[in-house]
Amino acid sequence: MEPGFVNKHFIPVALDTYFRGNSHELAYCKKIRAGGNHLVAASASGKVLASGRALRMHSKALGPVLAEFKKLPATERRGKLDDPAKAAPPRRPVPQPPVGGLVIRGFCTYMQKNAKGDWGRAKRFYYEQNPDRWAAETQSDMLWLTATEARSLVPAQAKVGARVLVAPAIRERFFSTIGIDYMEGSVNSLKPRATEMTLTVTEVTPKGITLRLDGYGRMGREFDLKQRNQPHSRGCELRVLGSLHFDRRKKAFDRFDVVGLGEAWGNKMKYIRREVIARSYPWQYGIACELVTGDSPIDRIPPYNLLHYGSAGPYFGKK
Amino acid sequence: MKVVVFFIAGLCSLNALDEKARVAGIPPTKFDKLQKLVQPQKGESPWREIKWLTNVTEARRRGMAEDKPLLFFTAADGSPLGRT
Repeated sequence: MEPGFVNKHFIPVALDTYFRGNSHELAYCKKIRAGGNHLVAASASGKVLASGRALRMHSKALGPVLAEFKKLPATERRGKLDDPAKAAPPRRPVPQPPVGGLVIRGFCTYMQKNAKGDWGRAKRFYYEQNPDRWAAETQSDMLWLTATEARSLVPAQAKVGARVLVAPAIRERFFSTIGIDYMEGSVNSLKPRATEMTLTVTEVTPKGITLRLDGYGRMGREFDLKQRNQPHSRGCELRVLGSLHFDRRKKAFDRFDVVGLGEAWGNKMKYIRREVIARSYPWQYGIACELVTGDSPIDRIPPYNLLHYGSAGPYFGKK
Repeated sequence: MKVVVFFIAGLCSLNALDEKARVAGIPPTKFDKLQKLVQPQKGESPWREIKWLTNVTEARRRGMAEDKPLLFFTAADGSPLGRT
């Protein structure tokens, strides 16, 4: 993959097929067949230049696409946009981050301990037995908190040792969505069986308050070796440790770093043959979180379980 | 000193779920290392370096203005920029 080549010569667009936009945008996507798990190169007018398995994000595959684009007459390269005011609104609008809330990016990867007992990353593959296997890549997802929820994390007393018991809605959303192993893809959020999360003030200065986060969550099914080959048997446990910083002048968090180590087991839905084979059972995974402060499209994508497979209940709880 | 406070704070933070916990505590001294270890490693996810747009109209406008083709990356459930 050559990100520099793509950035220089193309306008890259990433879309969730179920959220492609208003009626004009949807019609354009259908015309160029931008949907499913797919790559498509097209002109702004809607002329398809390339698609399918041979298309890759490197110069070898994209060079000929670019050459073909340059041969097109200007009318086909650029085209014309219909008046967006005349478009029917999206059937499924993409949710936006809560105003004044927190946007947190989570990461998830497989972990393992070495002979000395130190944690390291575990390299795993999708469809390991196949010649065209590929490495399981670190996944990421978002966690959104409302403005009210963010405020609830600030201790009433700015005093070392003061504690905040994190509200059930926050800790359950955290553990059930970005606290699970979501490396395999298309996995439901897991209902929390039991969760704890506390914040403890560790430092107070005129500028800010530093908090330590401690948490533990049990999600999905309880571990049972006999269920190893059974469907709907997913479960996990995760311990988290974090460091948060609240800027007292800006009245906003400017740090939300969390790490988590966990064990996971079972099978998603009815799929009893895992796409990524577990070498140990249960297997180990890790998560990490960071505060998102940017405003680029990648910073504003909605949490997966807000849109898909939110089986742990409504994302922001019952109204 | 900060590490000491960080550590002592942790000693009295969790109670009920520590019993029968499958996962042991995370040493605060390992925090930074683990944070870096879990995040994508250098070269692991080059697609994160691409300046993706997520709005079709905006992309078409830019394609017209800059006279460039559009490259669509779609996923069947979930944004391809996140979990799918």
